[in-house]
Amino acid sequence: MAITDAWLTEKVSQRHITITKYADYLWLLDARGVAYLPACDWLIVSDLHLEKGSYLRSYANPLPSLDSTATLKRLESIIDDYKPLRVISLGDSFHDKHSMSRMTNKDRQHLCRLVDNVNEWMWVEGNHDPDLPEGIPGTPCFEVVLDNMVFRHEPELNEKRAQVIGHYHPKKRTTITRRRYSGKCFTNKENLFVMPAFGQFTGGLDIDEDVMLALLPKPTRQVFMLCDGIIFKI
Amino acid sequence: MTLLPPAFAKWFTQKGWQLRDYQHTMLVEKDKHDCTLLIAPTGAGKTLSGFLPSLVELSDLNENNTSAESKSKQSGFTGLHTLYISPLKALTQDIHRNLLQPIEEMALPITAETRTGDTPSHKRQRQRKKPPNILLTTPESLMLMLSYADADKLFGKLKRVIIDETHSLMANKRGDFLSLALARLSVLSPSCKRIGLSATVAFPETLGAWLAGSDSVANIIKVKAGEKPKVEMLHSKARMPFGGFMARYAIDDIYEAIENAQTTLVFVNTRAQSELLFQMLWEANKAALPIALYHGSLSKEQRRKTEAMMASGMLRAIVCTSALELGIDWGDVDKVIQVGAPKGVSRLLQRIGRANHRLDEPSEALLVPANRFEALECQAAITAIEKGELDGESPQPGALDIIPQFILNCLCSKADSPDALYQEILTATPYQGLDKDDFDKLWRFTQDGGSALNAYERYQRLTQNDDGTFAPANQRVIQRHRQNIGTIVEAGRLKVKRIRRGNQGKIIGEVEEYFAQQLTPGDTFYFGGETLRFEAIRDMQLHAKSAKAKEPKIPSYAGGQMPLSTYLAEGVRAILASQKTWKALPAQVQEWLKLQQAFSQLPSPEKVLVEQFPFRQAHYTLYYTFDGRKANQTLGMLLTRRMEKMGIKPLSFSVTDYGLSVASVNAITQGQLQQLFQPDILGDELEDWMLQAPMLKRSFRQVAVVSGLTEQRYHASQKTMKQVTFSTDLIYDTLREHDRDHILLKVARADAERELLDLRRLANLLIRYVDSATLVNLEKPSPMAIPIVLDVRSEQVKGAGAQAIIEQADLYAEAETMLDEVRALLSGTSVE
Repeated sequence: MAITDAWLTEKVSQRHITITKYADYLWLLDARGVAYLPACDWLIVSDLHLEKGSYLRSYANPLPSLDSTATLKRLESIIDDYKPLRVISLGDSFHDKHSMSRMTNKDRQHLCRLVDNVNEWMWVEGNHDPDLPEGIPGTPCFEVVLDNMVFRHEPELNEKRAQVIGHYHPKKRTTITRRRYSGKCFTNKENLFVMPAFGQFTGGLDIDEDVMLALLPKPTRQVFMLCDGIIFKI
Repeated sequence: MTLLPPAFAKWFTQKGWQLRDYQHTMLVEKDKHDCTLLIAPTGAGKTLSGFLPSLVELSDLNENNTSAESKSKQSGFTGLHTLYISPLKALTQDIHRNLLQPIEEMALPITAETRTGDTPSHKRQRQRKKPPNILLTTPESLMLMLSYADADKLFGKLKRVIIDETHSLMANKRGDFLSLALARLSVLSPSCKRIGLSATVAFPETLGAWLAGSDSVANIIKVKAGEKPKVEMLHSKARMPFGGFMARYAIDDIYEAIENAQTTLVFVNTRAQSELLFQMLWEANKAALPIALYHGSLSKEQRRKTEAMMASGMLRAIVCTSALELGIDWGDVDKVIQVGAPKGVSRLLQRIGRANHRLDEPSEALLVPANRFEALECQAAITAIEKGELDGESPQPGALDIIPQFILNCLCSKADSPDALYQEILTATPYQGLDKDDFDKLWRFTQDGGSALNAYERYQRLTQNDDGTFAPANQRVIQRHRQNIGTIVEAGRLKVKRIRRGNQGKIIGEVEEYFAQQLTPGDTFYFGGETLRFEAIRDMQLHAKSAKAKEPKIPSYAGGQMPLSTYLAEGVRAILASQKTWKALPAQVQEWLKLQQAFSQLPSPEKVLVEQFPFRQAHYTLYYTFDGRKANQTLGMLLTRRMEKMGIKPLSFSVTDYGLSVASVNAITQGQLQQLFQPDILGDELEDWMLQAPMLKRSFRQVAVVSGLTEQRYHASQKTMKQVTFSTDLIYDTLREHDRDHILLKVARADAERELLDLRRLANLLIRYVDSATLVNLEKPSPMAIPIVLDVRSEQVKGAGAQAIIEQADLYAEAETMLDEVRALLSGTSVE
């Protein structure tokens, strides 16, 4: 753990971080798109979608491949701030199974260095990456359990415990005093917590779309929106 | 020797016409000049004059030929002799009709055909094999033809190229595009002569320079203007609104004017306004007069039908947009009504010229301002017309994003070297100052995408041959390029299909993707003058059924958002400064000005009036600069930037030609105002803002499409504008971070500067107004402020202001209480 009282107070007052409670744990929600559990010193990040740029490119979409570089750079600065005991990457960390063959050596080394420097790095499997690419350090797993809480990529229907998931890339649009805002968001209800997507080239699914409303009906949900480096609750 | 061949002389006599002086000159000097620019007012028979040298030449050639082969109807000249280029597709059809008339009546063995995006492919194929003597086309179709491998054969014998409506091609991308195509034509056929046909312009020499290219000089023939038009402003008895953009108050007056005239053209400034006005006129149409609607989004068939009805005199009025502004000959229009601000004297004269296409009678026009501010603009326009003053665009360096497209286009036709193409490009006037270094970068981008993108196979567009020349890498590159030729990046469009049953129905026009996306099934909207109910979007078509509804939505068109610059700001300022001139204004407008005087102040030439008032949960400051939209746009960006630094928390700003309105969380003081209005804001703040502003992203989007970075069309599938936006925004961000010097970023920046900013004018303004801005604090918007603050097109400002609003909504206290619990955890674990 690297964060201090002073650092946190400053961050909260600048709206770079906000605090909420979920499944009896205190959560720090960072406007950069990650969550941190101070009680156990865990950092949660979801949907990195590494090498999505090069994947789309192979279908004639003209995108530069620098997305992985950017994603890793942002992640590194966050890990530097928190220096967590454990990082949980909540699935879809790699966009497809050939991701690693397309990744540049520099990015690959950068990724390995990041993982090696953390005490324990859990790669939760996702629909895009059911198998962890070879030669990547860290522990692959289907889910991670903490007390009455389970971290996995996609929700399971008859789960009694509180779930923390990724997969949906939640996003929100809103209008406050005649101004329109839109951004990725954290959103949760009593027993379900959805992480925003972290990857550079990840789009989003509006939480007011039917699919999301079925999962998190309006009256029961909380929404924390990320917009221009600050986080605020709606 | 008689100038006209006998057939022509006879035909002229039959028609009761005489060769006009300038037509005579053009015929006598037809071989003397490489380039001729004919400047004549509308109705002077310009187009015929343009074709006359070609027709005479072709028939002469034929004469010599038929003596040998007397019975053959075959023209003595085979192949393409004259190319006619029109900026409007519709114009080519009309001119074609008008051209066939003399050809048929004189029985000249000359073939003339059109070639546009609408031409069926079998006809295009045939035209390539067996070209007509005269081909009428558009800049885009010309560029496409230039990309064919047999372009040199097709255009090799070209003698003349006629560019109609030349004035509309100055200082815009379409004109840049055409200037390059002309440069290419001159390479393929060095002896080809250029003829430009233009309406009266403010700076004929500049236009001549554009037309002639950098290595030649244009011979300019000016035709004296006819009678000055009779222009009046409507003095309505109905109450005229302070703000807003639709002249609903004047609908009865407009209807009365239509009833009193034989045939009327009613011009409005945007497509959405035309739909609205048409609907309102229809409701007022007690006498059931035949009134039609015409704008660029309606389907081709519908437009043709309206054109035909108009030509045969079946209509009493047409509500139309600028789509009808250029050239089309309408026969007996005797009145033109302009609804809304006239947006510049030249444009207004062009519109008025539609009435009475005869030189010897004055045109009649009625101006209907939509609100009181516009009345000032109308009056300024009337004064300028009386004095014979014109406005005009000054030349600008050519847009660089067209260069990659042009390079590829030339190479599709024939392999070539960078140096040869560079020399060729320099002959196009807008590009005569093109930097070799920039060209090399653009070449590299065309070749392999440049440093950030050259790892991609997709961008390996050129390969080098053994002799050092370059050619497209493969057939796919060529195919892609041809599908994407054109410079005008339009907002995404969907075809509108009126469904009868099942999926069957008729395409009646196009709406913007943005509008279509906000509809839900069951919604109703006006389109093409009828009410439709939205069903679904299928295969890039919007399906809708006829419906009846009380309050349908009005489609939004990009044209509606297009900021039209007016050159009338000076005139408006002069009217305000001199109370003597007020008596020409409608009484209601005079009263409004007096109200402004009493409530606040009138803007004066010596000082910038700045008004401040609370409005819509924010503080609004209004700067009456009268320096044009571009300068105001830049000023808005810079002021908000500085306001941000000073903690005033700006939220958004919007601009008009007259002023700038800024909304902020905090109010400003007189002291702060002096700090804001200093020339030094042109320094770092400009740079900062340019990098972050959304407008740079917008111009990058265009640049990306035009330069071939992304393609809107591939195979049969058209990307939606949203998809294009998605990928170009991502590329922009990545390039900015990793390849700051990429040529396309530079191009986007230049584009933004050229289209949106007016730095020189702004610098003058700031110097002029140092320490002379007056702040007037008001309790509510002043009479003059209303039309400006009601303008919805505002630029949002990111920063503390936006955050301040979020913070008001944020439940900060909740986080605060939990902060203590986290602190306990932090201290607990750190003890471990």
